[in-house]
Amino acid sequence: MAGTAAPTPPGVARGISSTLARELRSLSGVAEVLERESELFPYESDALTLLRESAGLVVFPLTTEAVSAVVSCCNRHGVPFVPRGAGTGLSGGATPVPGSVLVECSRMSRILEIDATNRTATVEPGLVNQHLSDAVAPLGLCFAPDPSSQSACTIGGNVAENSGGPHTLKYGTTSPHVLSIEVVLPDGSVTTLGRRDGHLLGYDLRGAFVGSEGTLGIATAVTVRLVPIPETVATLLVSFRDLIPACETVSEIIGAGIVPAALELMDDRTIAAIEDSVFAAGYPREARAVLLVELDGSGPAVAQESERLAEICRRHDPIEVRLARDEAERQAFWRGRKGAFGAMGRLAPDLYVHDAVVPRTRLAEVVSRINRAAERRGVRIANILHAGDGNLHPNIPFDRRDPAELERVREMGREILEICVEAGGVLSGEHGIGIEKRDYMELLYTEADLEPMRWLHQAFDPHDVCNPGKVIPQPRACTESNPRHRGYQKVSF
Amino acid sequence: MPAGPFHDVVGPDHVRCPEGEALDGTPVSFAVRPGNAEEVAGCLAEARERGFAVVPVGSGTKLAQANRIDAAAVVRLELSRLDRIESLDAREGVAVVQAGVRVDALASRAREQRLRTLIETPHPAATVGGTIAAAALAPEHSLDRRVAHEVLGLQTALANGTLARAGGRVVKNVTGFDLVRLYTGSLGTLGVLTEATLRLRPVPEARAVARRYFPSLEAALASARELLGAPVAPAGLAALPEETGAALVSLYEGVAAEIREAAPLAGEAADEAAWDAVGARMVAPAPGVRLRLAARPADTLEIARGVEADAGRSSLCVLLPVCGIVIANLSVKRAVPVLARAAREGWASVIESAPLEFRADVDVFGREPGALPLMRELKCRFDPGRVVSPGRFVGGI
Repeated sequence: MAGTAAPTPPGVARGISSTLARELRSLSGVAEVLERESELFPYESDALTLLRESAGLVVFPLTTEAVSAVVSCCNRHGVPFVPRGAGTGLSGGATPVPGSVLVECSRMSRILEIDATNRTATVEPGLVNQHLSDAVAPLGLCFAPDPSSQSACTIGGNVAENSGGPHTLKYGTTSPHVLSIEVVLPDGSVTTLGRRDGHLLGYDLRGAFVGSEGTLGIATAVTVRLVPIPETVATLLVSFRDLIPACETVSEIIGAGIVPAALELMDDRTIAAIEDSVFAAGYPREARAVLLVELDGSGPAVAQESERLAEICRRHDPIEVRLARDEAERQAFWRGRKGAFGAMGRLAPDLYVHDAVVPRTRLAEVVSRINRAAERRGVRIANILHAGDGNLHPNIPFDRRDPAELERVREMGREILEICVEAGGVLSGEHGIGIEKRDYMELLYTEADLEPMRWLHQAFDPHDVCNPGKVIPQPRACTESNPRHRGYQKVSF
Repeated sequence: MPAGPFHDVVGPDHVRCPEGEALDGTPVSFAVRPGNAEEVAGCLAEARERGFAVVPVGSGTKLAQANRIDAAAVVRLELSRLDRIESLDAREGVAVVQAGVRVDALASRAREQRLRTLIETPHPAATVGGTIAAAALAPEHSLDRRVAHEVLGLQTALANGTLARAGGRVVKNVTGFDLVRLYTGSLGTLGVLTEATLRLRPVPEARAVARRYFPSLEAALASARELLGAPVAPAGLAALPEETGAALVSLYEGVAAEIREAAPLAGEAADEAAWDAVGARMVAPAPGVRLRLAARPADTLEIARGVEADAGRSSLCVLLPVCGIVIANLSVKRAVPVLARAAREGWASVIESAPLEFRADVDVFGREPGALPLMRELKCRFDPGRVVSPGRFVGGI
């Protein structure tokens, strides 16, 4: 129409050229490209919803070749890209870089091979964690890493975050369960890190890639180790009148040399949220803390360790030591724990899920300090702990519409990390650093410690195009000079 | 008179200029014994400045498991003075040790607290640093039980002369990139390990060893598969080929009640020495080429048959069916077709020991991995001047 300017294509408004969008759409193996604002909205954050940023485009590849082509296309156009799975991460690892192409891998969700004899499976990155365990259960096998989000999170995401879960205590986080990873490198080339039989040749780049939060490339196929479903499982629910004896019980269990499959702790605020919700598990409401302890293994071993464990618990004046009578009760116990984060939706419109690790013998002291600090700041805390690993989740329910409260929450977040590091702990046990904790890395590491991490990153991604600005802080002098990273400064943690 | 190289860093008493001494075939210009991590870093800084190549040495048990040094002369960096167990926290289950601590010394200290380290190696004199740097193999190892899983943190002296920490002192940690795994098994080519933070595990209540003779290797490995599928599986399993047939040695660990039931299914009770003999056999000095071949657990028999076809039955040393490993002792002549077969079949291969001349002509680490360009790039970023262990690792990194 004469005199009327042609409408600006949606992506272009966010700094993406229309040629790039067109090229991506034309690639073989690309299912869809989203570019309208309304379509992009759900992809503005991962589960760290405090931090939002709009992608230029969201692209859904279906094959390794398509991922490679997408990455090459981005490189030609000088546009950064960000890999994403189910978006359940909690540290902003999958939050778009301003104007980037978000490479959404959730539609690459096939199981490529199950090798029951050698107890391995090769899967695409978008496969949901739980779906893998479901698929191999008839073979008597399972995939051990079990994050609370396991019914939604993907194997690719687990690899990116080196995810944990309640059973990490005995079985380890994702890394020891990953044998090899097919990766599209930031230059678009495809390589394999590790071997499918688990034997390493050369540097353990597989190990370095796991937990790199999508900054070293995009995983397109993962070979994982499967473990046998244990013959016998016993689950105990132990309730206490106070949080401190519960923490002390944990330290004594570990000190006694018992290795439960899981050792989870929840405080009174968490218990109340669970019992008020659809996840109600029968946790005693009068308890100030409950411990959920699971032992697995052979029948004789579980029977013997259960007795020792119950004995230790009784020494700490519990309200009750309850052994799940049957599978239904065991499932109920776990329903409460796994639904705990969802249940906290009842406490406030927003939830800041924190994650840090401390030496297990210092749990009681650290939790007390955090709770006192929260009280001082007028912030509520609902504690969930993978206590056997010393992994704390002090969760902060809040309302982001109240700027003063938001500020208190941010300050509390920093103080939690300071307390944990001071106690000999680290910044994250399973959620990663992402953007959330990037600028806190210096609480734990010196510049000299961080430098080799940068070398590793540069070896993979010399042009800093793959999920830039995450995990590793820029050396101080460069912080203000990289325009790609400025967007995140809108929200500081 | 100006002080000699490294004198200012470690003191003249800890520097030697050994005449005619060689390290894995390369003349040693200086043998330096730093006393702490800072001195190790200082040595690297000086070596870099002077253009020296440095090879760190623990107790030297793994020196022959490497490609030839890519330098005309080398500084032998001896870590034997870094022999302190800094702390052993029994309640936390964590030990902090200097790199030169012997594995058996740590094991003995841990045992006093009813704990053990799974930094395991059949070499009694091996150091913690060397065992981590080589990601050494022990007969108990599996995909689930290996050196890398036991290392929580590392302090490393980098080629630029700085000290850097990776990991932490807690049992779960995803704070930044996992450099601990990168350094583990890097054979001292990215830096020199100076201190390790290690996980300690409770000593199992019971241990039992069982031994059974089978008339054929096939029968022994079939039995191994059955045992591994049982509710109480062995913690270690080794097939020892004999002139005819093979012995299957099983190690059980756990609570007494389960071991009592499970171990008899694996054979007659044997003493601990029967299990120790497996490790001893794995590392016994071999005159020719000791080769480790590996693939999937189910491939163990196929690998063994391949070795048998190329080099004869007597070359088979130890089979570890838990992780698909075959160790063979071969003559130089017979090693060539076996290596060719390994490359053809896609098996992983590592020459654990061999005469220098033989190693000069082959890559000790077998077929180049697909990610070798990335590995070269990494070496370049960590050690642009090729100061630490140049040429020693896969592809001559």
